[in-house]
Formats: sequence, structure tokens, C-alpha cells
Amino acid sequence: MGPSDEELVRRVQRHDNRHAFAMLVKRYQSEVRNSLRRMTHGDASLADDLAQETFVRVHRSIHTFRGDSSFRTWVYRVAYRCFLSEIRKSAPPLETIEEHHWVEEQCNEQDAFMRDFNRAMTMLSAQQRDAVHFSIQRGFAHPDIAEIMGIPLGTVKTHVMRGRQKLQEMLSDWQEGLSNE
Amino acid sequence: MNDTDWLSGALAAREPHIDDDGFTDAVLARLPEASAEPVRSYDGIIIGSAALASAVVALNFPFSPFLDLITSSASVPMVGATLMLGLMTVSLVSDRLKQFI
Repeated sequence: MGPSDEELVRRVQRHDNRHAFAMLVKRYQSEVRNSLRRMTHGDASLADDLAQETFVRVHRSIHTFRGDSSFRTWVYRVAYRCFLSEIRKSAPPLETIEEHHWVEEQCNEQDAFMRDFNRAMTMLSAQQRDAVHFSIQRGFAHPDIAEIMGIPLGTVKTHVMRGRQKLQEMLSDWQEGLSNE
Repeated sequence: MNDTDWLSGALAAREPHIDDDGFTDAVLARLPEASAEPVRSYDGIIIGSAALASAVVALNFPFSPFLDLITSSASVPMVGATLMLGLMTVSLVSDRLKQFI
């Protein structure tokens, strides 16, 4: 258990402490890269580029961070903006060209549940998918998701509720087996 | 597990950890140079310039009429108060200058 995020952020803000910033990057790199890989449908190279850009932007604007939300929420907000910038400039949309790749990769890992989960996720709308990911897989509260995605709280609640319902319907066969694990 | 959290539970432990594997170093390499040194250089330039300008002014300033006036008419407490006010003014001005650097 090292220094808190708040303490590390303070060190970076006051002294541009690179060691403290490196600790923050190491703390969040895995989950941010995983999230971006999911958003880019398994394109690890693109996801890692976006993750790098995320942390560079975080460093550039860290002096503006006032702690109104958690540092983790703030990092995700920056990451999500990087992702949105990328899909705005890429045509055709990422999901149409990369969807198959993601599903195949999971098949190779023989993780049947994750394969079905990822397939089910592709049935949701893009915003539903992202909101559900932040809620179920990252454990963010609805207000945090609204901040990350830059959409109204009510919209987030609707996306999460409907997305969950759809996933639970599509994955209902798994429920009993996984609940008994 | 109930309907609302079985999915969260099922997903919680299934995400692989991605090893850093040089990622953090790559991020650090993209950051601009640390800003501490340039600020210190600017500080030195400003302070040095101010000291030089003050020395030039002091060497050419006609102090004798003021000293005569002080010694002939002012009391010790008044001189002390004037010095204190002068020091406070210098301190305030230097703080202001630092904000603009």
C-alpha cells in the first residue's frame, strides 16, 4: 500500500515529481489499457497508443485537477475523450472493422464466458456498451460515469439499466453455473 | 448472487492484468522536460537584474539632503517606523513580482 492518489497528485502538482507520476501511471495502466482495448474491440496497438496519449494529457493538465472527483475518474474521463477523438477521425467506425478480431482472440483463449460476454456486448449500442463497461467492469457510480462520458446522469442510468437487462437476457444460460462457482 | 450482481461477480476476476512492460517508461519519455530548472533560471535573471538596477540607482541617488533632513528633524521611533514601512513595501513588491515570473 503506497501513497494515496491524492498525495501523489500533490507531489506532481507542486514539484513536477516524475517518480510520483510514474507511480500513478503504473497504478492505472493495466485497467486503462484493458478498457481501451475493449473500446477499440481488441486492437491492442491502438489501445496502447491511446493509453499513452491519455497519460501524457493527464500530466499536461494535472495542475487543473482540483479533486472534485477521484483521480481515477478523471483519468478515465481523459481516456474516454482520447478514444472519442480517435473514432471521430477514423472511418469506417472501429466497431465494424474490428469486431471479428476481438471475438476471435477470446476464442483462442478458450474463455467461453468472456467470448459470449463480448459477443453480447457487441449487441448493445456504443454508449450503452461503454456505460455498462464502466458500471459493471469498473465499478464506477452513475455520477462518475456521467462525468467520464460527458452525458447527463439520467442518460447514464437508462443506458446502464437497459444494457444490463440485455446482457442478463443474452447470458442467462451462464447465470446458474457461474452463481454456483 | 442476485440478478443485479451475478454479472459483476462473474466479470470481476476475469480481466487479465496487463504487465507494464515498458509502458510507463514510454509515457515518461513523451513528457516535456521538467519545468523546475527554467523557472529557477528566470528567478536568477530577474533577481540579478533587479539587484544591478538597484545598485546603479543607489550609486547615483542624492542621499545627502534626505540624510540631513532625517538627522535634523526626525526622532528615533519615526526613523524606525519609516524603515519598517520601507521593508514591508519591498517585501510586497517582490511577492508580486514572483507571481508574474
